[in-house]
Amino acid sequence: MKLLANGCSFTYGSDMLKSTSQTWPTQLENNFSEVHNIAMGGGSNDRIVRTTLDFCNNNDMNDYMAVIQWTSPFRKEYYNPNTNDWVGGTTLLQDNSSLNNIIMDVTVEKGAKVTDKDLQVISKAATQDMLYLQSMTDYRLSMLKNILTLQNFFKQHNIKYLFTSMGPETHIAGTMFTHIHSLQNSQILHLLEGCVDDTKWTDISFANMLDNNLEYIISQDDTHPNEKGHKLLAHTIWQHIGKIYG
Amino acid sequence: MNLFVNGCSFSAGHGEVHDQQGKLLPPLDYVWSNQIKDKFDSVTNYALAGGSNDRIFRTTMEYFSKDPTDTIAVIQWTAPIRFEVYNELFRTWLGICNNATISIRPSMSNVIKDEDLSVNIHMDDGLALEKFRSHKAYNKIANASQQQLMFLKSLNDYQIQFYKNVYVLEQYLKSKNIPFIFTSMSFYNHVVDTQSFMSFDTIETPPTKLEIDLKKIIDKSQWTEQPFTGYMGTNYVSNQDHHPNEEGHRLISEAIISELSKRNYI
Repeated sequence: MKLLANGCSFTYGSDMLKSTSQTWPTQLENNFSEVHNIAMGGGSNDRIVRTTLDFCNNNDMNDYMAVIQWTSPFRKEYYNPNTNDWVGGTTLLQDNSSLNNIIMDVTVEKGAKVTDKDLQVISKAATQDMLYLQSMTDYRLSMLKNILTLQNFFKQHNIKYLFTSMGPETHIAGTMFTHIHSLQNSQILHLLEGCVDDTKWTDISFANMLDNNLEYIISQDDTHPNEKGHKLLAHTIWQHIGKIYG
Repeated sequence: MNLFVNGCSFSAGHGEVHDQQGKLLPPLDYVWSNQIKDKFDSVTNYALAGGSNDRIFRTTMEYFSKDPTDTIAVIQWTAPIRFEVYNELFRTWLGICNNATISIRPSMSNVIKDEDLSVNIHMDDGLALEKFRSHKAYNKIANASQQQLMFLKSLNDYQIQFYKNVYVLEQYLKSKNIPFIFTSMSFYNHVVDTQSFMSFDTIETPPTKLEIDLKKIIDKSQWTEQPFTGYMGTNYVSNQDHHPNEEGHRLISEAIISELSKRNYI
């Protein structure tokens, strides 16, 4: 059995981690014949869907287990047809004083040809989009559509999979997500959440597994998993795979 | 057997959206779904002029969550460039309908200006919409919508959202064993490949690998052979208004009945 892992920096490994060989997918190398980690730091759920579909369509997935770690719904991805690049947008709070200090920071993958000037324009429009157009409901709606797209794809193609997430606010299988939804008073979120197969999710998110314990995270200011944290995540993921698929 | 319809003006009819009390107007008699109402016990038409695929997705799911019995769904998807956002301030959905498809072609993107684009914002409650237009948030929302179209999202991004809506709704209807057919307004977003459509848009915005991957997983057997513009031909209102006229709606209704019969739904 081979492993496909996708997600954000919690799966790719943060900059502060000494080596990418310490990440949880790498620590599962003894349990799988091959490990493919296609996560990217700062990556969005849009990117996770795109790169997972691309991987699945280019590989024989009969012998794969896909572990998908969903990330913040506030991240987005846009296609720039002029340079054929995907541009990722991540919310960045410049300081805590006011909403006006939130901007959308834009990132690109290695080798992208998009110019700095274009990125500035995209960042400005993305910030307007976040401040005045999109609501919490819209971000969550978009996340649920991404989750259901991959869930349905995996089921349709009989691909073994496990879903998990970065934090409790993005963890569909827990009670926190439902609680936040009820504040939005939006029927469609509840309906889509009802379509999610929570038997294929880990019980709790990565952040809950790490429990803000300094033994497992890099520091109080950087809650990414350290090496020991990744070891804990790898152990928990492996346990869940065993529980679901035997 | 009952019929549920959703779509845009091609299924709602063109013209006024609200009555004088701000309530949504029902589809007029000439609309294709009304031309075939005798074949069904009831017809429920949720289509809205200017409505987006996001709205079609949302309201169809909301309708079928009530578990209506013995109901066939005919879903007419619309222009991918329209979208819907939830406004926390007014606690309602805002439909964003951009009216400048031609101006956003990549080859023209360097020359378009704010004034080249017009944005229509819709609320189901017409009186609330009137109040909203004079609110300071209105211009900010309209401006952000234009910025999104001009500088943020490409046609490919909108198409990707469209495919996700189609795929997730398709799987939802199948999971609930609801008989359905999907169709679309025009050749541009008709998922069934046809040889008759080639325009500047398809030349200038070739699909990304993601669009190809998503299109591949959509069940084409649930789609009508042609979009509405294919069935209605030149039977439109005028050279300035390409909505189907009464004869156009009749031709569409015939095609829909034929597609439903072909699948033994009626």
